[in-house]
Amino acid sequence: MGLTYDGTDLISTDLAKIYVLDGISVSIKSSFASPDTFMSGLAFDGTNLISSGYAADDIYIHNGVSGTISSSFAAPAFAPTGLTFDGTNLISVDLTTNLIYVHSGVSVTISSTFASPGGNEWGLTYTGGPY
Amino acid sequence: MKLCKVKITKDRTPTGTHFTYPEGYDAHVLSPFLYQNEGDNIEHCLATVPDDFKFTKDMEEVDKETAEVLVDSWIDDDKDLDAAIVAGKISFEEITECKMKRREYCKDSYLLSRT
Repeated sequence: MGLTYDGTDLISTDLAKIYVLDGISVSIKSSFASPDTFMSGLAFDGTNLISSGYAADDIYIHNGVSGTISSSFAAPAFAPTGLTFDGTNLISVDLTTNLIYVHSGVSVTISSTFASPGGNEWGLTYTGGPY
Repeated sequence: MKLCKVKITKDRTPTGTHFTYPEGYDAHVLSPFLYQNEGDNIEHCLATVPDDFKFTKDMEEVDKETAEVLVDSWIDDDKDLDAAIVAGKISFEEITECKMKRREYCKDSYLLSRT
């Protein structure tokens, strides 16, 4: 589960694959294996795709928009369910803690947290850019 | 297309894990369709590669039958999924769907290959 936009193409994920769509359309430009068995979030930081896995509780930094994972780090809590990027920092949300986490850049370090408004969030986006 | 088993080295640090791919690995050439999701320092993935791909010891060719055995083993023995089940995060139905989707996707990749 997850959806993001890289400025050109919409990127989505199901339980097995990550799909790069052709613009915002039904056409699939490419697809590749997802790093976690149960994907739960996608974001784009301007260069690389970032994804989160609900099973392993990890956040993955891809090499560009590809199936190659360059690095990963632990999600801040037990069940990451959404990711976005605000132009500087990665932001994630967790289902079990009901907190939104502002990371320091795209890293494991958390600079601040606050309560998610609804309590059971799946999904995050940022209005300031294609993230 | 051919099938390739790629050895990926994982370097774990307190701030995360860095993945190192074999020399010659090119995301534009290899299309990984399943990660092993196991191993502290070494992980593997299965990928499709062009017929003229130059295999190495860390990017070895596997035949379709071997790939199918690896896929079954990796999907059935997924430590992350097992942990998620134990933790009650994912239902049995969701796990079954996960595994089914993965097998379908891998099967599509075999069908593209010839060994």
